[in-house]
Amino acid sequence: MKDRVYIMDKVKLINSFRFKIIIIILVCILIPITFLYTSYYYRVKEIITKKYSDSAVQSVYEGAENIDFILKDLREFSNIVFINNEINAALNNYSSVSQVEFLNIIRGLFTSRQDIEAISLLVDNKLYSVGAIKLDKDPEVFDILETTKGECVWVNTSMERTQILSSQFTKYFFSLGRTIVDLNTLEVLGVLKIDINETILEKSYKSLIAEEGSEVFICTQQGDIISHPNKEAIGINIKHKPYMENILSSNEKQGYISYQEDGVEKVAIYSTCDVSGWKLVKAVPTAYLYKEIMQIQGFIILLGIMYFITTITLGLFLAARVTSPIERLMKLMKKVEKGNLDIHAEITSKDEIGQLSSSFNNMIDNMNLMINKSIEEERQKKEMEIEVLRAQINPHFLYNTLNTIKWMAKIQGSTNISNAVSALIKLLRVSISLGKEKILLRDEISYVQNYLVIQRLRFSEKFDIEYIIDEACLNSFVPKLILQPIVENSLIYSTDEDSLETLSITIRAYEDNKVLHISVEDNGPGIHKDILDNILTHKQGIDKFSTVGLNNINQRIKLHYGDEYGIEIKSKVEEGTKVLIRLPMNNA
Amino acid sequence: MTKKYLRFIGMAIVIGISALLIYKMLFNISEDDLRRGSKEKQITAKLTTDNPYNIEVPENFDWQQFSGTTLNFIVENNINADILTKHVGRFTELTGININIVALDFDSMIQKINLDFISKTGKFTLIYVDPYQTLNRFSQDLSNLNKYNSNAMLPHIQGGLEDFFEEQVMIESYFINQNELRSIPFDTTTMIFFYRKDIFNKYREQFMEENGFDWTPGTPEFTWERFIQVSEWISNNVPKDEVKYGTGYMGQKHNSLYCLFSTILASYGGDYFEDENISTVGTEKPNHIITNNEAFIEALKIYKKINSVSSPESRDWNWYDTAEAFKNGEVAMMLNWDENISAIENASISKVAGEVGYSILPYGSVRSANIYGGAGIGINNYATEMEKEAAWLFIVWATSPQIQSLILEESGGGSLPPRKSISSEENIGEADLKTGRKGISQTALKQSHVVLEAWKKKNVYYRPKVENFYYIERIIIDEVYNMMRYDLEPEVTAQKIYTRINNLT
Repeated sequence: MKDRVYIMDKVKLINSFRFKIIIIILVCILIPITFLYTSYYYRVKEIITKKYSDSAVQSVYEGAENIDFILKDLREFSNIVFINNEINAALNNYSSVSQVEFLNIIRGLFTSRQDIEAISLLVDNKLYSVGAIKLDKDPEVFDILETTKGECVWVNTSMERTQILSSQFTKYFFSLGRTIVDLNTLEVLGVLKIDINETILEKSYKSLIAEEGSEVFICTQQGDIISHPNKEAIGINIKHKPYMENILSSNEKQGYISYQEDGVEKVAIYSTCDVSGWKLVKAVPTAYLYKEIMQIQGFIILLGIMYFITTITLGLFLAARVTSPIERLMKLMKKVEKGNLDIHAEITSKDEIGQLSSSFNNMIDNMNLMINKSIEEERQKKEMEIEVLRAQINPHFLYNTLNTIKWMAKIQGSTNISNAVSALIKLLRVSISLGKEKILLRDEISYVQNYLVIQRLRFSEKFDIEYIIDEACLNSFVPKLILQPIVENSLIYSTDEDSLETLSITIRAYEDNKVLHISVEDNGPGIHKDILDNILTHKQGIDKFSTVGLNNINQRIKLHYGDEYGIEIKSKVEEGTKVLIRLPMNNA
Repeated sequence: MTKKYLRFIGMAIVIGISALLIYKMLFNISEDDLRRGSKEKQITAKLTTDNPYNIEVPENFDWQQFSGTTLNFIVENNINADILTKHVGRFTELTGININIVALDFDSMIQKINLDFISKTGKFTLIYVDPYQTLNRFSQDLSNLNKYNSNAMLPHIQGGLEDFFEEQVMIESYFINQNELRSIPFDTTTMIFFYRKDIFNKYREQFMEENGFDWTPGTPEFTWERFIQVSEWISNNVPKDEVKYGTGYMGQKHNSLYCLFSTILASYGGDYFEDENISTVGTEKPNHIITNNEAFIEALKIYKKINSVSSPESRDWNWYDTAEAFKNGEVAMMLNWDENISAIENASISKVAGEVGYSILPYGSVRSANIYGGAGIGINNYATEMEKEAAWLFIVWATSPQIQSLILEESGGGSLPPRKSISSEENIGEADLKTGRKGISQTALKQSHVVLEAWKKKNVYYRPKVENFYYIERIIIDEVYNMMRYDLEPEVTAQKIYTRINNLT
C-alpha cells in the first residue's frame, strides 16, 4: 500500500484561523453588542423623547389650567350675577325698572372686577351695557345666547372698535354669555354677556413662547383661533391643517402630534380646557423641541461608530496577535516538512501558542535525537553484520571441508574427532543461517550443546552442565547466539586447566507473565565488582572475559524488544556468576 | 465545512436569543406589561365580597382605582346626611375617593342643584335627587345609572333594585318611563302625626268626659274634624305653661303648605290629576285636572278650619318652623316629616323629648293619607366619566344594606331606609339575642312601625310627579294661601286653581 503524503498548502483566507476569529468576534461580540446598543439607543431616545414631550405637554397643560382658572373665575362671576337677587328682582319686574336702575345694578357688579371689559344685559330686547363703549353692536350673539338655557356659552374672540373719549381703538374681546334663568321657575329672564380682553388669555400662555419658530394659540373645538400673539390670526379657522384635524378629533385631553410643514418636522402639543373645550396649541419645530435629544443622539451615534471601529480594530489586532505565532509555526513546520530539522520556533509568550512552540521545539529535538540514534543503531547493526560475515568467511567451504574431515575420522575410527567435527558442523550450520535473526530456544540450546561437545575436547570432563528448561519455553523465538557467548564466558573465565575442581553450569528457562527468563549460572570464581560494573558498557574485553559478546547480546535484545529487556549479571567472587536474560515470550 | 458554519449560525442564534433576554431584562419589557393591557378583560362576572362591608364586587376589583378623586355630594341636611358624613371616612379609606358632603337646607340645596344643572358645570358630581324638584325637571341632566349597574367591571346595587320598595323606586329612580335609571333610592321621609303623649295621657279622661270620644290618634275615629276639635280643646283647656296651642299648621307660601294640604285632600279621596302613572314614574304634562271636585272643596274647607284652631303664628310657618314650635312645647300636635324625630327626641335641643307619641295622620272621609317624600342619589351628567364611575362606587356603598342599616342603628336615627330587607316589620324591633336580630335604636323604634303603617297602600299618598310641577305647586300654594289670607270661599279657590292649572297645561 502506498503511503499518502500530505504537503501543507497555503491556507485560503476563508479557511484561515484569522478569518474565523474575526467571524467569531463579529458574531459573538459585535452583532449582539451592536444589537443591544441599537436597542438601547432607540429605547433611550424613546424615553428621553417621551420625557421631553411629556414635559412640553405638561407646560401646555399648565397653560390650559391657567386658562381654565380664568374661565372658571369668570363662570363663577356669572353665577353670582345669575343668582343675584337684585338682578333677578329687576329682571322679574323689568317693566317697572328704569334704564338707570338697571345700569346701576350692572355697574355695581362690573366695578368689582378688573379683568372684565364690559357687561351687557339684554332684557326684553333692550340692551344695558357698562364698561367699554363698543361702536359695533353684535345682536347676532344675543340671538344665539337667547336660544340657550342658562349654561355658560363662550363667545369667540372678535375684533371690536371701542371709543374712549373722542378716540377709537381696536380691541379683541372674547365673551361669556348665558341666559339668566329663574332658579325656581326656570324661566328665562334675560341675557348676560361679559366681555373680556383677549390679552388675558395671551398672558396665560405667553411663557410657552420660548423656542424660535414656535407658535402658541388657543382655538375652539371648531378650529377657530380665539387667541394668538399675532392678532391678525384671530378668527381664522385652521381646522383644515393636518395636525388640527388630529387634535380636534382626539379624545385625549392633552397630547402631541408630529407633523411636517413646509418640509420642517414639527410637533403640535395641545391641551384641552375643561371649562370651554378650547384647545391650547403649541406648534414647535422638532429640532428645537428635541435640541438636547439631537445632541445626545449625535453623541450616542458617534460613540457607536467609535465603538464599532474600535471593536473591529481590536478584533483584527487580536486575530493577528493570536494567529501570527501560529502562522510562524506553520511556516517552520513547512520547513520541517521539507526536511530541515535545524530550526527552532521563537517562544514569545507563555500561552498555548508559547506551549505549542515549545512542544514543537522539543519535537524537533526528539526527532533529531531519534534520527541520530537510528543512524548509530544502523551503524552498529551493519558492524555486527560485518562481524558475523567476517565470522562466516567462506562458511560453505569450511562446512564441506569439515564434513570431509568428519568422515575421514570416522573411517579411521577416531570417534572423538568425528564427534567434535560433527558438533562443529552443527555450530556452523546455525552460524551460517544469516537470513534468520531469531531462532527457537530449542535450537539455541542445541547450539550450546554442540558448542560444549567441542569444548569438552578441550576441557576434558572438567565441567558439568545442567539444563532446566520448561518445555513451553523451547518453542519461543529468541535472538540467535545469545546463550553460547555466555556459556563460553563461563568456561573461559571459570576453568583452569590446572584446577582440579569441576565447573558446574546450569541453564534455566522458564516463563513468567509472558516474559521468558533464561539464566546461565556457574560456580566459577565470580567477577570482581569493578569489572562487573563496567561489563556491559565496555566495548573491549576485560581480563579473559568477553564483554563484546555480552554487550552484543544485550544490545541486540534491546534493539529487538526494547529497553525493558536485556541482560543482567549477578556475581559473587569465589561463589559464581549468574547471567539473567529477560526476553518476551514469542512462541512459534 | 458546512457543519462548522452551521455551528456558527447556531451560536449566533443562541447569542441573539441571549441578547434579547438581556434586552428584555434591561428594559423590563416583561409579560407584566403585556398582561396589564388585558388585565381589565380578565375581570369576569365572578363576584366576591372580600371587603369590610361585604359589598359584592367583581373578582379582582380594584377598590382604589379612583383613588385621589374628589367628589362633591350635595344633599339635604337631614339625619341620613349626618350619618353618611359620620361614616364617609370609611368609604374614603376603602376607595381613596374623597367625598365632600355639602349638606344644605332643602331650598338652598334645590337652588344650588338647579344652578349647577343650568350652568352644566358638573360642580356637584353626586346629587341628592328629589323626585318632585329635581328628577322631574332635570332628568336629562342626570346620568343613566343602568350603564354603571350593568357594567360587569363595576359593582352593582346590592341586592338589586328589587330590594327597594317598588313604588319608591318608581318615584325616585325613573321619570316618565322606566327606560333610564336616574337615581338610586337613598332615604325616605313620610308625613306622620306627632303629639304630646304627656298631655294626651294627662287630659284623656277630662277630654273624654267633655267630648265623648277617645282622642288617641292613629285610629279611623281620629279624623280631621276630631283633630280640629282636639286642637281647639287643648288651646282652650290645657294651661299655657304646659302647651300654648293645640296645633300649628304650615301656612307659609312654601312647599310645606302644599304638602299639608295634599294629605288632607287625599284623605278625602281627592287629588290634583288623575293621569295614569302620574304619582309613580310621573308625566311631562298632566291632562286630567280634578281640582274642582267635591273632595277638593271639602279638603279646602278642612284646611281652613285647621287654620282657625292653630297657633296664630303658624300662618307664616313652614315645616322647619312647625318642628321648632313643637320641640319648644308650643304646640301639642303637628303634622310633619318623620325624620324630625331625631331632633324631637334629642333632649339637648328638644323640650318634649320622651313625651311624644307618633301615629299616622288623621283620617278624612275616605282614609288616612300620609304623603311620602323620599329621595335618591344620582350622578351629574356633566361630570367626567372617571368621576361618574367613582360616584357610582359611592352610590353602591351609600345605598348598600350595610350602610343603610346604620341609619336605624344610630341612636339619633329614625327614618326608615328604602330597602325591604331592612325596613320590614320583622327587622325593626328591638335587639333579640334568640333570633340574632340586631335591633334598631330606641328612637327609630318609636316611629318605624308608624311609618310602615303609613306606607301601606291604603294609607300612603304619592304626589303627582310632573315636569313643570313648580308652576302647578305655585298655583296651589298661592290660591290656598290667598284663601286663608283673604278668607275666600273654598269653592272659589278650587275653581281658581282649576282654571289656572288648566291654562298652564
